[in-house]
Amino acid sequence: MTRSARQTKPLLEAIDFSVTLHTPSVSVRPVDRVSYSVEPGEVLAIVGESGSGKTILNMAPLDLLPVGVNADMEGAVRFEGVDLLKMSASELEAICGGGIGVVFQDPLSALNPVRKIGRQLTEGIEHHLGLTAAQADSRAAELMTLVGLSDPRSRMQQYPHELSGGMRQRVGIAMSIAGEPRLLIADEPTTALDVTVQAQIVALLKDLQKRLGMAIVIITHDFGVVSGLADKVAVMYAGRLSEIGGVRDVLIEPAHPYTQGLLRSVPSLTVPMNTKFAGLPGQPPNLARRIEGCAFAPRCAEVRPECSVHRPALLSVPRSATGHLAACPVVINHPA
Amino acid sequence: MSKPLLSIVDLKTHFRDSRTGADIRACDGVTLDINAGEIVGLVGESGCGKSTLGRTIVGLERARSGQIRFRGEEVLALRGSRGAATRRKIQYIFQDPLSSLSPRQTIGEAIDEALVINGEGNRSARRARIAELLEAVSLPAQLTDRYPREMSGGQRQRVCIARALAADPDVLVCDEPVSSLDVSIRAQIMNLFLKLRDDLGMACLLIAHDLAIVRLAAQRVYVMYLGKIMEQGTSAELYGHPAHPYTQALLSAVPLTNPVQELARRRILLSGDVPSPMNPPSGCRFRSRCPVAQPLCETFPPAAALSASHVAHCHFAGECDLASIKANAFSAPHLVHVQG
Repeated sequence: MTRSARQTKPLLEAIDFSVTLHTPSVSVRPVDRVSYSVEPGEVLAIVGESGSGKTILNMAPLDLLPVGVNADMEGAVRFEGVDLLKMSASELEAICGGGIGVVFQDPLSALNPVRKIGRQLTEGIEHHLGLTAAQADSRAAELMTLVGLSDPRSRMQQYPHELSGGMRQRVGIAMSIAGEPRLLIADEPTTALDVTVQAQIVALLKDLQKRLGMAIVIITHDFGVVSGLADKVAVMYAGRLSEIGGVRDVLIEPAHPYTQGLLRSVPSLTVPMNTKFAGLPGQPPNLARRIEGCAFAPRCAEVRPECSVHRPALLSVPRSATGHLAACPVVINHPA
Repeated sequence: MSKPLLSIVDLKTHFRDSRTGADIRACDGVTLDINAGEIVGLVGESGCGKSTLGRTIVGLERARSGQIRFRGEEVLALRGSRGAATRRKIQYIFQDPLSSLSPRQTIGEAIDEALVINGEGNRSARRARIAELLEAVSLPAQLTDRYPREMSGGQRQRVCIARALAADPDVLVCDEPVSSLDVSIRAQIMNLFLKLRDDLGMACLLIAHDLAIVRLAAQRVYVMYLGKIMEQGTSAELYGHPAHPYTQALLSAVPLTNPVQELARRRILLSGDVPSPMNPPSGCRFRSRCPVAQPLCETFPPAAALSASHVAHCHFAGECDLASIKANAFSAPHLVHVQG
């Protein structure tokens, strides 16, 4: 990992970041003391199941939670050294679409249905790059070509409903990179798409990342998307990081029993036919209740009595690369 | 070979576009068999008509033409209570269990209603049957009085399966039964389908876009594209020796979780999206996206029988291997452009 050796300053750095959401009856903590960093040009995948907190982890610092959600944030999330949590609304607005681009899961709901594609693109470009309308227009056409949309001039005259899901997501990506961001945050960008189209979008993101040199944080539940795209993987469970490390370390030799179980749950085209499906028993915990000890303990095959006492800290995985951490003292202290 | 339990013959389901009046040929001449005690996979991209086919089989859409033969009876010709009784033997499992359960019914009430419709008049017999059905889908009996909102996605899908079983069906048509569930929960539901097949001899039409899931569950698989079957075969044939370029492309798009293998393999990236079923390409429907299409493909490809069970509708069935010939041109992402 030459990057860390050079001691570059991380582009994005979350330090003991927690989010508490309040409803009239309960308070839940969907993000619980999470720390990670993203170097310039690096692709970090944040993997977790629904309710693991992966979306809130990334959207809360940018003030992109649904309207009406009351979130208390603790810790720090620094982008280029500046804490996003201490920024004013106008400073955040300048960063979103400027230094940080965001791609949403459902491109249809991220686009305005009654405005033409072209106008939606040029609006952001004029705003963030300070270009004239004509300049913004040709920049928009360039962006559409960049994301693989043919015939950009006539596409710009179309409305979102006239495009297919894959094309809409390409427009969504074009919008998010309009401000030439250093960091792209993509929240489940391929979930709403077919496998063949998903493969196109992953290839596009990889291509853009290389050509524009931007860092990407991709939030997903799909390890298949992670393996072809990410440099680093963070696995979230019940609001906490259970494992983090280089993509090969985490996906080929996962240390945490949850990561192992999750990987086993993805059937491959190489497992012998006529075998049963492998998965995990039980279901993720209810975050409205306080979790003592390890949140994964009730579903874990390696569980020991001490697991329900202390919350496990992220520890270095023995015999693995530096930076490969797992929150499971059982496997770390008693390697098989 | 014995007669299939359910035979679909040249089934067509068309919709009318309200603006232009044109026919949307969602399902356009599909022939498919399901044998007793067999899980049959139906795969394809969204918009290929696989859900329309499933919905037509259970009567949720009206067929334009063709036949649905169930135990030798022509289902489309049956009317009244006779038709209803026959159709009840074919049950449907929806993708989203939350929207297919009433929020105001406890799960006991939901299953009870299905039993009443199926003609079980005795209240205590129904209560005993509810307990049996919950056990069959591995749900604890104390959940009877719970509402769907109090349950997890996996539990809700089990309830939907229990409710379908209440009609004592011979076939389940399952439309993406696990795609709304979390990855770690999917295996629990898929293994339940395997158990129903092995213990009760339940036949299943498994409609899914996830080829890896279908591979483990189904004995035979049909690949559908733009309203037509492109290739069919046993799982071993279809996954081991895919003969149609579309099947090959679909298989190459299945992501691998191992990053070393994923980055090393050659992937066939199909350009663009599925064309509109209002105006499908003439001849082979896949030719507008097919990397090896020739002028010949403008005529409809005949069925090429590669074995008794393995059939591919391609002029070059079994002759081309996309993974090797065109891989270089298609592995460069910047060469992939969306066709208008």
